[in-house]
Amino acid sequence: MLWIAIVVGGLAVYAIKLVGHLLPEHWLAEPRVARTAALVRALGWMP
Amino acid sequence: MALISSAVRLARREALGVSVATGLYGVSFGALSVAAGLSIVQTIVLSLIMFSGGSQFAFVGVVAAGGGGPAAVATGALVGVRNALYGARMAPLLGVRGPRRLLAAQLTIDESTAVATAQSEQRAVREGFWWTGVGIYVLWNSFVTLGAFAGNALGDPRTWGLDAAAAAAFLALVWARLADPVARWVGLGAAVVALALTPVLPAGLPVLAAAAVAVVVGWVRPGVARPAAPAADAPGDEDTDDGVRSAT
Repeated sequence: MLWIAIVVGGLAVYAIKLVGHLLPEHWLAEPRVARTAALVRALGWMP
Repeated sequence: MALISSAVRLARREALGVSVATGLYGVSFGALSVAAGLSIVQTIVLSLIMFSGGSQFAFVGVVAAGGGGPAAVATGALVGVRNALYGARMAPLLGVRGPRRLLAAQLTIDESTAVATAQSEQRAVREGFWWTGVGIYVLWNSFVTLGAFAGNALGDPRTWGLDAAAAAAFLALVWARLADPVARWVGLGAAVVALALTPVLPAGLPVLAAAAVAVVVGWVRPGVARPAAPAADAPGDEDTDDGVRSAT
């Protein structure tokens, strides 16, 4: 049971990273998206 | 070697420094994970696949609290949502396709993105990302393994202060970004939100609420925060990037 959660959880976190890499670039050119991403990045910190 | 620019050397040096500080912190995760009830092998496999410190701590935190598999998965994934923003930022800067893109995605974490985007030349951006990503992947997982084996023999890993070392290394990285007044206010607001929610929310969620502050400000206040100009999008314009180096 815990094994399933470990593999599914790991793959879910990886999939989220991959989705970011595969987002169409023109979405990111949208100023609000770019601003938001820049601010979140400025705060990025591993808890 | 003589052809390596000073910017690239600086990027590599930053990458190694951050990798060591963050990697050592892996001992904490390994020990905490085993204490939470994961086996040594489960701890290592989780770390290798998930590879995002915040999500990993959140996952084992839920398991330790008896929250069950689905809740652990959901919490870990939620904490990892910000990595999608990092991926979206890094993809055009790295310009990789195929298997290397799959690898780049796995190495997309707070530190690799922070080191990369702090660089002022395109080559340094890319080297900063890869050196930090690979460096942390190797060191973090090595020390997670060590921590898992050492387990209870280490006592409470938090007493070692490694969490503070990792935080300090990261703060040194993002400090230059806070030169912008809006980023500074957003940072302050986010810190207040995170501190206020830490006593009442499960581990990993306060930082998401803090990130929501940035999302809201970025979304509703057009023009307040100058978006960083992507270096790779503007060939011949690498030196200007977003000026963070000059702000240090």
